[in-house]
Amino acid sequence: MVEAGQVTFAMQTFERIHPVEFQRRFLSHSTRHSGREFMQFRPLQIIKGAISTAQGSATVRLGNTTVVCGIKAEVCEPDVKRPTSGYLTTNVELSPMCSARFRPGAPSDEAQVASEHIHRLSAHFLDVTQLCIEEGRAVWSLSADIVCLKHDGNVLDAAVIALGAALEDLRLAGAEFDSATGMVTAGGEGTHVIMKKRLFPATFTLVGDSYVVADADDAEEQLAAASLLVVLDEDGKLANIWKRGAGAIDKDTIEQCVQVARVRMAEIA
Amino acid sequence: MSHNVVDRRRINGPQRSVEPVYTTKVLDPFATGRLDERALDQVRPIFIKTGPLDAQSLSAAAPSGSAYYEQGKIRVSCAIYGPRQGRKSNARMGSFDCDFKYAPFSCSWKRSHIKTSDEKEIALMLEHSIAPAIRLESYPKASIDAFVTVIESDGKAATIAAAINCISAALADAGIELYDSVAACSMALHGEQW
Repeated sequence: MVEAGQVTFAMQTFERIHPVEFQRRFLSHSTRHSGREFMQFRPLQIIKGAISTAQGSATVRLGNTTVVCGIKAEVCEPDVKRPTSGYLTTNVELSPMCSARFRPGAPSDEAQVASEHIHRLSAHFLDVTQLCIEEGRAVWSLSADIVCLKHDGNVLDAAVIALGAALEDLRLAGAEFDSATGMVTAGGEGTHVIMKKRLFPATFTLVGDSYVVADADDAEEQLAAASLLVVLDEDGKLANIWKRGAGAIDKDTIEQCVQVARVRMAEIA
Repeated sequence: MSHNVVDRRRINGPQRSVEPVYTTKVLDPFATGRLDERALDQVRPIFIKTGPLDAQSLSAAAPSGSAYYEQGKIRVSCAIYGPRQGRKSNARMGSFDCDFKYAPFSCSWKRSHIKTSDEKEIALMLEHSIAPAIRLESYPKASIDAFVTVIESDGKAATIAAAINCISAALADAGIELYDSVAACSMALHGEQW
């Protein structure tokens, strides 16, 4: 069976020492190391409103990846150039708790890039003029913080879903501005904000030179040559498409990914 | 809270924002017994879940042990990394380090992203409470790191106690050698009554 000079490894050791070859063994047989199909996404679980200290919250689990989005609402003066616009600030936190890859201290490049991209996407979710309390004097400022608790690949998809769900869960208490004291008082149950459109993300990753897989987990993400994030709105139209990495993805593959993203949208709608 | 610091590595909101003055009536916590009708020596119900959600497909960068802890409204999550290579290569005993952070939405006011001295003090408290229970002499040159994130807080002392219990559970899940698990509970003095 085993010839002289040939070394055999336990599967976990082989994965550590030859990660690329390990993945290729599965991909070349049209399967993945987790047993999923190429275009199969992990099960998704969304829990809204669990955190009472936040005005809106959602916990999203995508396989092992867990993110929590909490929204705190404060009031502030609006920008002079936009007197009826409130603020929605989103930040993604990838702490050393979620994965051994992150060091304590300032946000890593991955976290900064994720924050920046999701912050730009967040304009699609919400029309900030409905956050106005008193034109030119007081507006709501929403801080959405997406904290990653467990990182097993594809944090971006989970973060976009969590942000959308938290915004749907958000309740803003009825606010009144008193021009004499300059104070804002708020009370009551609160009303929901009206969302512009629901967004449905789907990430595809190019692994092992030429295989495109959906919803890569951490092991696959580490070997990715490129990745493609497709975000559709509820009408099936393309809200955002973002390709990262040096690997080449041709036009037909992109179209195929958008089709799969539509199927995914139907799954999670 | 007003933050005049511009954090260059994060998306910044408006320079200064404050909480509105909420008009909902503030209840007196001890008017008629405790607010949630507990007995004086009764703790809130506890829920602990250790380990990953799906143990089948675990990444190489996953923690050695983790725990999610709930006590009433308090929610704390902890991950343990180690034993892994420590900073001193000639150390006779292993080192245990704690990192403690409140999530920005975990308290009734919005917390800063940057770690405050408050959080550093609590991290030191956690280290001093738990390090004696770990058999550090069986891990020379190694370091064991605990990272705690508070997702929802409900009473400062109670949250610290919850963090200690959570770290204990995570250490057990990681298979670290312990003399015993550490349990903690908070107490408060109200007038003359504990």
